Amino acid sequence: MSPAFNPIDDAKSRCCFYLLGELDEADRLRFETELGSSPELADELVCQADLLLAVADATTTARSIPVAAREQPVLRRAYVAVLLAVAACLLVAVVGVNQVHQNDAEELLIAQAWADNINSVIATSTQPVAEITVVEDDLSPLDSIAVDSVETDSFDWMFVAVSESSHGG
Amino acid sequence: MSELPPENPTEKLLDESGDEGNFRQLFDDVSPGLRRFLASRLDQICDVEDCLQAVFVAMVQHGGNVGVASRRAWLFRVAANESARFWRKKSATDKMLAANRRSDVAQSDPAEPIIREETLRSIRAAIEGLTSEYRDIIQLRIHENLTFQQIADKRNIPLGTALTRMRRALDQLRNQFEPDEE
Repeated sequence: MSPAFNPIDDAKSRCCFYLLGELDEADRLRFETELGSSPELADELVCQADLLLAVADATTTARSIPVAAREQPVLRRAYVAVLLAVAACLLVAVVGVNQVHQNDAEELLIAQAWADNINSVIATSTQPVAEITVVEDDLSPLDSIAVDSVETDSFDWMFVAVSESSHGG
Repeated sequence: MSELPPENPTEKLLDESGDEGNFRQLFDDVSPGLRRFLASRLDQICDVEDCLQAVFVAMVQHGGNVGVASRRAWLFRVAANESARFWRKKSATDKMLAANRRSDVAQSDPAEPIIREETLRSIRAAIEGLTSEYRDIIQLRIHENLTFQQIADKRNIPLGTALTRMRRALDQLRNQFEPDEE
């Protein structure tokens, strides 16, 4: 910097430094006296005030960039929440599938118990065996029904049970 | 008129803000300049005092939201707004418009937040475009409100260098937004 260089020598800089409160007492009084008689200087002062306010706003916002760093835990919390939600969904799905399998097995057991009961009734009844075989013939297509499909109809398990018991019995 | 009676409601606001000392000191410092500034724009001394009073009230109500380093600038902007509002009130056209619509509706411009945001973005980009030394001086002076002497001490540079950097930084920013001037 040249020793002769005065950084506060033009109107704009004087306005800025005045607004920043950086003029010494003598310069400040001179500036204010001039301000009262010069609408141009007053206009310039407003322009520089706007510039400083805008810079202040911008630097405040720019400085709030670390706020982004403060947002990281929030993001992390969001990720954890999403992961927890996904884990919960998987858990529900697994439990649900197990429950379905349990239901199938349980239903098969009930069917077998029911069929056993039927067999015992048949064995003690006077009904001819031929009629029972008719039942077997009618139900023969159901032999291939998979256990998984038993639950599709509320009465299917009975037919499966009858079929199973016929084969077993 | 600028002297407030002790029981003035604004005294209570100042007390509640917890910034009474700062605001009082600031206003005492700035009011001579504000008075002269307003005198350059208004004809009657009573109008000057009315506007000064309005600036004071605005400072009490909203000044706490303004950074310390830019409070003087803000006060002069408020004073400019108040003087402009004074002339608008005197305008026959505005009187007619005011009769037909509410003043708050007339003053609100829906595009204003967008324009403001755009201006902020531009200035932010302009500040990013400065050299690191200029950015540093702007941050220290305007954001952290250090005096130039404190900045000079902190950065181990002469006071003149700190002042010059600030001036050149502001010149560059100004040139970005006043390209046609000079």
